[in-house]
Amino acid sequence: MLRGGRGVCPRLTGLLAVNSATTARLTAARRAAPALLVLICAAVAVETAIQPAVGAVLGAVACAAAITAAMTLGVRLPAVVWPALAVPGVAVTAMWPTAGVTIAAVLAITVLAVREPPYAFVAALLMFGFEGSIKMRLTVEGAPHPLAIGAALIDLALVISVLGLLWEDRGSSLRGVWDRFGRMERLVVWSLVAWVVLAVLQIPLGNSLSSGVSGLRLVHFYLIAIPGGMLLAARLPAERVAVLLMGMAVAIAAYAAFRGIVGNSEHEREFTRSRAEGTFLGKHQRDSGSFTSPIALASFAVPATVFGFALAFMEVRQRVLGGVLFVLGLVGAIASYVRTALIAVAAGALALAAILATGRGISRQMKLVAAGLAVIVLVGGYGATLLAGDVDPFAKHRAESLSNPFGDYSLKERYKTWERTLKKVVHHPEGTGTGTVGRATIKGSGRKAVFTDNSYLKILQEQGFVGGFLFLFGVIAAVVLCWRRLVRIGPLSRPLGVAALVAFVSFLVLCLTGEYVEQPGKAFVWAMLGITAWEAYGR
Amino acid sequence: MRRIDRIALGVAIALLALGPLALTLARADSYKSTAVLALNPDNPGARYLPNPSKFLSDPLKVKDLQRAVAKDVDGFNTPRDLPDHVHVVDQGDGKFGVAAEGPGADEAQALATSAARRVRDAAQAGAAFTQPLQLKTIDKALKKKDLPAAFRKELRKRRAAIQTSLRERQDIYASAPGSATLPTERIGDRLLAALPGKRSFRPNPAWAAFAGIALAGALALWALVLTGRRPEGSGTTTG
Repeated sequence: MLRGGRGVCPRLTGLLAVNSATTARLTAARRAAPALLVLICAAVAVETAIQPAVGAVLGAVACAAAITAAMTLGVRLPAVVWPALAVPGVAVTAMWPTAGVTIAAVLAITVLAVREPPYAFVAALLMFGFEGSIKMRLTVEGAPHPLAIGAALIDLALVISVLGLLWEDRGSSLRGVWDRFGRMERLVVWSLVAWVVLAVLQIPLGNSLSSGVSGLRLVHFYLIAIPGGMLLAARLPAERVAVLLMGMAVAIAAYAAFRGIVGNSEHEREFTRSRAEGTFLGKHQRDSGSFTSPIALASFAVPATVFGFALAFMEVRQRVLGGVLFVLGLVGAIASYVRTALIAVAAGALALAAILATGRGISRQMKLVAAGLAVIVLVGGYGATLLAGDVDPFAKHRAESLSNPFGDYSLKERYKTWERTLKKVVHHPEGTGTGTVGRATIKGSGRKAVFTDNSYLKILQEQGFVGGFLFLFGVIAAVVLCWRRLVRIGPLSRPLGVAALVAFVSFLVLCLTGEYVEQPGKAFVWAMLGITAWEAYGR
Repeated sequence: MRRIDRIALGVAIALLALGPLALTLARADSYKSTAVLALNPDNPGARYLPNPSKFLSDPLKVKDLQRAVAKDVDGFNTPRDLPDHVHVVDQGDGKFGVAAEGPGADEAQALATSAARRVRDAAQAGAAFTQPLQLKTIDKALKKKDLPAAFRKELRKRRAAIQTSLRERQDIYASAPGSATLPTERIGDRLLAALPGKRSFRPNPAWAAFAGIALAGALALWALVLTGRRPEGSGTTTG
């Protein structure tokens, strides 16, 4: 540019010649930074032209990121920045107070991400637990694109918290774990990475690019919670991680239990009805707690319940908090009338009993108690479901069908859906493309989606045999390897890891009957896998 | 932090803490618009219609009318709530106000205009069915032999007026006005209307105040904690 400048404009040549900074050898990072800035500005400009509201949000996020970066690097900001930020803040908060509160939460998470990243990560997970409430309030207040903006702010909080963890750790914990991984463990990591990369490449296979991107965001994006969970466990003592996660989950489960008992509010009823199908059983509305739908609630309540149950059983000091979480989570799961939720909780309890039965240093008495508790969870949960079914004859019939699940109408319907999906997979072995199944297929503000009623079949249909295999192998091998390792170390010496593992297993069981892999509980669940991996290989 | 920075930050925090509440209070909770309906002065039988305001207020509970109004008015998508937003007030002298509430001046006016037109048509149909019944009742009363002469005369007068109304098919209610009154906008709404995007309902002032204070607190935390960032390497304890 310097050499070319002489020919183009003599004045420019002179200007460049006296500026020593331009003649200095630029590092690759310095060269890339302006290009990156231009790209970001261009992207924001294009988005603003297409959707002004989303563009404004992106612009505000870029602005806040720039200010945060400047402050952390010690750059002195002009005084006018603060009132200039306050004026749009006042307008936004006066029109849509929920947007103001959510932005405040994201700002607080940003501060935590810089100072205490593990707490930022837990706070971000807490935001996921209130995704439905945030989106519902934004809708009620008439905010533009309430669902997109609500989801974007929650995702942003997660990204900021994970970046904070990565920045503080500088990758040393992740490198340490990687060094301890054997060939099989590394294969699992590469399998999951390849699964995500394949999903990106398969976006054009679908009919709509935006649906493809949406599908990628709904499922694959949340794998960033795995390193998040690992670093959370790496940066704090196990006991504190357990208390933090249970405290966070108790807040969410308590609201779900409260709504399960007293019923959803008027606005919640309207919102869930507009966003999801099957929110009513006869005349009785299913509990959705602080989530968008009963299914979304189950995606969080099941792993949280199992997590609390496992910790309460293994750790005397966590017994009260774990017990409270177990009870509240179970009430929420039962009130959501998702029958698989009960089976998944029982599966988690059985998995715990199995780990303890095969683990080192466990007394025979404890093994028997664990097995007995698993049976009590199953029988007690069934009884509670029957009791909850009394509100409506249809709910009662559904609850009773738990005793004969294979003869149940909805399972028969699922068989048909699964058969249809498998036929599609045979016709499209390369996959139908990311975002062609699940919530990404919902058009506008509707609620009708293409579904497979099974998370594994959803991935198999979208990503074909290769993608399906990569996902299944990655997830199942990760569970098997962590299980084996924790059993060998001794489950009682890694209660957090065991609790996180059985919570993850319970979610995998839940995934058998619905597209739970794209429901809000996923962030918590992927974090559980990260925590398990750290407890098994890192600590 | 320099003094000027601290002052600027203080101004920003105060703005955020108090601004949303102030702006919310400067907005109207809802706007009221009224369309006036009247009995047809050219119809001599109209004045004898029993309880004419009921003919206007009852149709507000009818589903078809509710749906029709919701179809007429953009943004009014809860037809079942029509009786909560529209009321009929007897203003005396054969006049009735159809008062509607809306989140904005235009919305209230549109709702009052549409509701007035629809309830007027429904009341007209209802009243037209009532007049033959009125005649029957009068005829029955006139058959009684022990009626006072003045009362009999009054009944005959009414009978003649109603019969004329029926024969000439005269409207009982005068036509609805073209448009209802347009209320003046409050300053807070005018300020927010200047911003791009669709204007929303006024939020609960307590909720707006809480949101403002939360955002002000977060801004204070963001600015004060990050500008005084501690040296690197003193992060969280490793577990």
